[in-house]
Amino acid sequence: MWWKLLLFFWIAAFSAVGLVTPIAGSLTELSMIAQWSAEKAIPVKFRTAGEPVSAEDGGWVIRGTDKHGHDADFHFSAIPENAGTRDGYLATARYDTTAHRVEVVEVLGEYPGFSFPFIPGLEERAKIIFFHVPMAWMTVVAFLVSMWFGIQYLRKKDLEDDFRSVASAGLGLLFCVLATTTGSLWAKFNWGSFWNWDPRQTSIFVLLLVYGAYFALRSAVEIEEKKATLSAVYNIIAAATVPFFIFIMPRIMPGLHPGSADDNSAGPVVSSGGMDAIMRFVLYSMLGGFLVLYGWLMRIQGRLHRIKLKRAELAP
Amino acid sequence: MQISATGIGKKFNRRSIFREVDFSVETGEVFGIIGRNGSGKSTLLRIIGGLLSPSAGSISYGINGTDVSVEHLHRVMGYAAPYLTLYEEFSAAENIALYAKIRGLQKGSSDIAALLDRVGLPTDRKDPIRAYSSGMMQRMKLIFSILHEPPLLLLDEPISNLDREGMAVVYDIVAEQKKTGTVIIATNDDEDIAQCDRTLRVEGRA
Amino acid sequence: MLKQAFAIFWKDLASELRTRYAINALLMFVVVTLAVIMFALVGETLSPGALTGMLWVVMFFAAMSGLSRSFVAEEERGTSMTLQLLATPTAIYLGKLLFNLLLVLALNIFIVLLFLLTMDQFTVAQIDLFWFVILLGSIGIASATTIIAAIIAKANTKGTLFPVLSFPVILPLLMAGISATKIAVEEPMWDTVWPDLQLLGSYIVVVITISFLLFEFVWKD
Ligand SMILES: Nc1ncnc2c1ncn2[C@@H]1O[C@H](COP(=O)(O)OP(=O)(O)OP(=O)(O)O)[C@@H](O)[C@H]1O
Ligand SMILES: [Mg+2]
Repeated sequence: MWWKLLLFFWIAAFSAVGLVTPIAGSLTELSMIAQWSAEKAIPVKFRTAGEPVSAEDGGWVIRGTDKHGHDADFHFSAIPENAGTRDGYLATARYDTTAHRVEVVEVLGEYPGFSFPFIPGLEERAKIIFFHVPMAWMTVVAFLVSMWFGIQYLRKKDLEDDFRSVASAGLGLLFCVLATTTGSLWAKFNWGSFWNWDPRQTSIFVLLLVYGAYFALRSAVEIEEKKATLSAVYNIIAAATVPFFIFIMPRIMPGLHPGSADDNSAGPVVSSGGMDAIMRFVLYSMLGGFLVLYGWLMRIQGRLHRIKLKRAELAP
Repeated sequence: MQISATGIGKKFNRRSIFREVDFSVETGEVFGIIGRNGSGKSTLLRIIGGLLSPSAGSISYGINGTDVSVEHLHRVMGYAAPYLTLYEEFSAAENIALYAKIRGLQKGSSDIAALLDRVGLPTDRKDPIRAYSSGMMQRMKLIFSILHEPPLLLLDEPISNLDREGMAVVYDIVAEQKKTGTVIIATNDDEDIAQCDRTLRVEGRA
Repeated sequence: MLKQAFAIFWKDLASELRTRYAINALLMFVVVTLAVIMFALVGETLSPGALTGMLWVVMFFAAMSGLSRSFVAEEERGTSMTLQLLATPTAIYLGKLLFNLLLVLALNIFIVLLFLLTMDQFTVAQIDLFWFVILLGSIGIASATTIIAAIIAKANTKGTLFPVLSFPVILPLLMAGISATKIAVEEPMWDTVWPDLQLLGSYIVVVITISFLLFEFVWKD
């Protein structure tokens, strides 16, 4: 029992951390954004590196250092509270290219202990990866586990292996639907439409079709043993052909997901080497949580299955 | 042909038809499988013939001490059963020529005529066997099972639909086969049982 | 084993020529589909690239309506046990694969010829590469659908299940085929078409290998 509670708190805690942790950029992103849009303000964090000084236009200027150690003058329209004693700020700001200074739009709070990096083009929406990526991974994991037990069934002809294979395929379908939904919701806000036929969207769509076909096949065969054999075979064939997508997709259509062949922005989100350490930690913790959740759901299905068999007095 | 089976069991939909069936058959034997309707005679025969995989247990086959694997069983086995369907769009001679070709055998038209003669079928009919009567079809199935002179002959209800003369043909084939090979018959017919040296009763539930 | 396979292939061919169950209906299917496309496109000018997509759609649906027959017929007539008693699973698979290959090649050549004759807008820049891609694609379609046909022959709702099971498996092949055909039709360049041809080739090898390994499980009850 204890581990289920732990699992619950684990997923809840890391979801909270993932959602609540502020996103804060540095001077680098500020100047990058300034080239695209002069008006756009983004969240930044900086430490104060000097006393507040009053500026000619009636505002105040504080010297600040960003996380990379770069300095800039941060221009406030009015002097912020406790300006002399604060050692840092989290604020939305924009870079004024004519005056060569940073305009602080709104102070959001103290310098945060930890934050996620600001990624141009993603911003707050980057936080989806804590949910979407684990779901997408679980889809693939469940599919592979299902295939593994399919192979075991073909080798040993034990219907228990077939049951595990179906149970995993069912969970895979569930995660597949969840990943597709979260993904397309996010795509609506980031890429402008729910569905873009981006390579990875197409791949998950094909996985959805495979799962659908798998269950359609199962419901069309009456003898359990034959059902198990045929669906195991189909599972293996699908697993052998679906990877061809990885090679064909980038040739057919441009990628929008990070890590696509023609991707040169937003790289740090998924190529884990470049990803922010805290983000990576939260993501992997969520992945671990989802993995245990998957195991738990498999166990529950196993118990249900045994109860059903006992009811039908068919238990081995 | 020697066959020895240990612990054979078969389940359909998790439901056990029979379990723990053991037997062995030697060359020169006519072995009968008997039992009530639905007890699993045909199922057991299909398992012996390698057409159905058992849920439990194993069978080993040997010819003069060398093992035969299930994949190659069809080369040394003949099988006739009511649930077998021949290629009905071809004539009798075409059917025989087809089986011979797939098995890699040379059968001229005189061989084919001899086979048809042996089971008492007309040698000059050129129409598709779709039009044959059920007794005539059963005779075609007999040809199908003995065409390649297999050391092992499996017969499921061999005299079904046959007249007196047809029964004599079957028993003649069985007697011939007994000289050099093995016969296993799944049946409930007393006359069939009289042909058997030994019988095994399958006690499956229907 | 090859001899056995050819014998089974000849049996299927003879049976088909005698009954003409499939071939007449299939040819009519192709003609009707093309007619529908032409009526739908009256007055439109389409690029050869877009027409290539149409061509593959027709080829896919023709395959979906014809290639399951050889196994389904065996199962429906109840002759699969007879066949099982005559030959090894490997020989049977190979024989059926050969038959499907012949059928799909004949169909696709027919489709392409009709397409070239009836669609003036469909011009091919490099005709030999084009035919080569059609050939590879046909082999791919036959190899992927043969094992699926064997699977659905054992199920209840055979007709509808066939495209459902085939589509996700065959999709990479379709995409590579369409991509390669487009290149042949529009601006043939070896270095752009080469990856597609490699993909088609390796897809065929993988699918046939896996089919040989798995066919026995499907075939035997
Ligand atoms: N494909 C199948 N699916 C489900 N159940 C089956 C199948 N084949 C056989 N059975 C069941 O197995 C049992 C044995 O069948 P089988 O045909 O072996 O009986 P039998 O002893 O040959 O009967 P009969 O004397 O009528 O020929 C029956 O209860 C039957 O319902
Ligand atoms: Mg019977």
